[in-house]
Amino acid sequence: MATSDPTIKTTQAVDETGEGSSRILQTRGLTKRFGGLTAIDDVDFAVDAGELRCLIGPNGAGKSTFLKLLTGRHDPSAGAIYYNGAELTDLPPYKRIDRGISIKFQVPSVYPDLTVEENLRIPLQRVASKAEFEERTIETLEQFDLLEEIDTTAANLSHGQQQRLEIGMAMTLEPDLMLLDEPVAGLSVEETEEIAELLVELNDEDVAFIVIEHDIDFVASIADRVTVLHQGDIFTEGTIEDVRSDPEVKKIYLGEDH
Amino acid sequence: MTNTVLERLRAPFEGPNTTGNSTAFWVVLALGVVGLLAYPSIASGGAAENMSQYLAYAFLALSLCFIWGYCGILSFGQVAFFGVAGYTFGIVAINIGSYTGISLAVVVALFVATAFAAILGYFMFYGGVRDVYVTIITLVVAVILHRFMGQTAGSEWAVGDARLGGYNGMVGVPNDAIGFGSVGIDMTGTGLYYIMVGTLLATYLGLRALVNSQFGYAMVATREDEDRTAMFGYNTEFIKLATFTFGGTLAGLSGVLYMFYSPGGYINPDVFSVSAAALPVIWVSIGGRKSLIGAISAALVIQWFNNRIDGWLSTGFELPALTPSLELTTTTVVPGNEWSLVIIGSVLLFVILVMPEGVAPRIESTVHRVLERLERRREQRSQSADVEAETETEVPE
Repeated sequence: MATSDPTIKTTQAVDETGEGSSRILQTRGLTKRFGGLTAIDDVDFAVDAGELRCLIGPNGAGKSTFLKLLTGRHDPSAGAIYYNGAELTDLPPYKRIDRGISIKFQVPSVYPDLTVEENLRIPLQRVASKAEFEERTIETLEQFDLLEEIDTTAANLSHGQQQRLEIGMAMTLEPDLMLLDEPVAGLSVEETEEIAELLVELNDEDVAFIVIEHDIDFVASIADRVTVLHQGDIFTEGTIEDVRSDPEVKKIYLGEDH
Repeated sequence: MTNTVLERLRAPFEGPNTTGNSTAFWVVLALGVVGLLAYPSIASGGAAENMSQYLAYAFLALSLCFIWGYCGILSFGQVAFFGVAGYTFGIVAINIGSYTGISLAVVVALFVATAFAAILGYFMFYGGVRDVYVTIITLVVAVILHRFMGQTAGSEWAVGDARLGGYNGMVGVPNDAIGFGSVGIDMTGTGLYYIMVGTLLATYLGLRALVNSQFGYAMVATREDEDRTAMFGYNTEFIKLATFTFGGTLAGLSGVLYMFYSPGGYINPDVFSVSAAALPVIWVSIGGRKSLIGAISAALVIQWFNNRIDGWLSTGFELPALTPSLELTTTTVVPGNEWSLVIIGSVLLFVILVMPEGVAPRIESTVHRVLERLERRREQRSQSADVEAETETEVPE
C-alpha cells in the first residue's frame, strides 16, 4: 500500500486518497528534483470535482513543473498523485488523458501545418465516431468562435485564435479535469474577457480546472480558490480576497519579480 | 450514377494527407500505369529488366516516405532492412531451392526484416531516442552490417549450403519462380516485371488508404508535435514503433523483390553501404517526402537516369578510370559511376533550395493554382458577358 511507504508524508489534509469524496485530484508529498534544484518540494495539493482553481506564484515557483508532474511529462522524485481515488503516479501520459485529464500547454501548441479542421480531428477521432465528426467539429468551432477559420492553416491564425483552438481541442476530449497553463498570455483585454467567460461557462458544466495565470484580474474573475506556489511549495491557499489581502503574498511577489 | 460510384471507390484513398485527390490525378495515374504496363512491349527486353530493378527500389522509397514523410522518423538505414531481407531470402532459397522453398524464403525474409525493425524500433522509441539521433543510429546499423557482412569471406561463414561470401557477396540464389509443390509462377523477365507493377500499385493504394485513416492522422500528429499528441491521449511511442516496423516490412519487400530481379541471384554487402543508404533519402527528398507517388516516381526516374548516365559516359566518352566496374553497376544498388552521383547530388541541392517540399507537391500546388486562375477568369468573362447583355437590353429604353 502506498500509505506504508515511508517516503510519503501523510498530513491531516490528505489522509484520504480521495475515494468516495468529491476530491478529483490529490497529490501527496509530491517532489521533483532536477539535480541539486528542488523544483517541487513535498507538495500536498487537492482539487474538488467541478472546482475552478487558480495556481499563481512568482516566476520559478514551480507552477509549470507541477502541471508536468500531473500529466506525466515529468516523473516525480517522490510522492504520489491520485485521480478520482486511483493512483496515477506511474502511468504514462496517454493513459492519464484516458482517465479524463486534458491540458493546454503554456506555448500555444496547435499543429501549425494542419488546417483548423484537421487540428480538431486529432483529438476528436479519439472520442467521436466518424459520423459525429462534422457535427462536433462545427459545434466546437462555434463555441470557440473559429468557424470562419475552419480551412485556415493553424500557423496563419492569430495568437488569440491559436489559444482558443488549443483550448477547444483539449476540451473535445470531454475531460473531468482541465489543466490550463497561461491561457490568456499575450491576449488583448477583450480576448482575455472572452476566455474568462468561456472558462466559467465550461466550469458550469462540471469540468474542474487548474489554471496557471499571472494576470491577477483574470484570476479574480474566474477562480473559486487560489493556491499560491512559492519556491516549489504551497505558500498559502484561499479565496482571491484572502490571497490579495495577504501582505506575505505581496512580499514574495515584490521580492522576486521586481 | 457512374460518377458517384467512382467517387465512393475513390473516397478511402483520398484525404489531405496525400497529394492528388482530383479526377485529373487519377487519370494521370491510370495513364502512368498503362505506360508502365506497355513499357516491355515498347522498350527492349534489357530495358524492361532494368526497370524491374527500379520498381523494386520504389518499395524502398515508399518505406522511407511512409515513416519519414508521415511520421517524421528520418531513417538513414532503410537499406539495412532491404539487405537483411535480401540475405535472408538468399539463405533460405539456397538451402531449399524448390518452388515451395522460394515461397518460404519470401515469408521468412519479410518476417526477419519486420522483426529486426521492431526490435531496433522498440529500443529506440521506448528508450526515448528522437529526431536526429534516430537518423544516426539507423545509419550506424547499416554501416555495421556493411562491415560485418564484408568480413564473412571465409568458408566458416555459411548457413547450411549458403556461403555469405564477404565483399564478393552471395551468389546463385534460386530466384526463377515461386509457387507451391510442383506449381510455380515464372519470376523472370516480363513476368516478374508485371508482378512488380501490380504489387507496387496495390502497395501504393494500400498506403494511401492507411495514411488517410485514423492511424494516418495519428502518425501525422506525432510528426507535427509529439508531446502535444501524447497529451491528446495518443501512445506516441507505439505509433512510432508500429510505423517504423511496417516501414521495415516494406523495405524488406523491396529487398526480396530485388533478389528476384538480381541476375544470377546475387547480393553483396554494398547494399548496406553509406552511398546505398543515401539513395532512399535522395529519392524521397526530391520526390517529396509527404507524397507517396512522388517517392515512387523519383526512385524510378532517378535510377533510370542514373543508369543512362553510366551508359552515356561509358560509350560516349573515354573515361575508363571513372567506370572501373561497370559489370558491378548493373547488379548492385550502388552505381559504380561517380559522375552520376555528382549529378544526382546537384539535383538534390537544387530541389532542396528551390522547392524544399519536393517536386510532386510543387507540381500539385502549381496545377491547383493554374486551375484556380482559369476558373476565376471564366467567371469574370461570364460576369462581363452578363453585364454586356444587360446594358444591351437597357439601351432601347
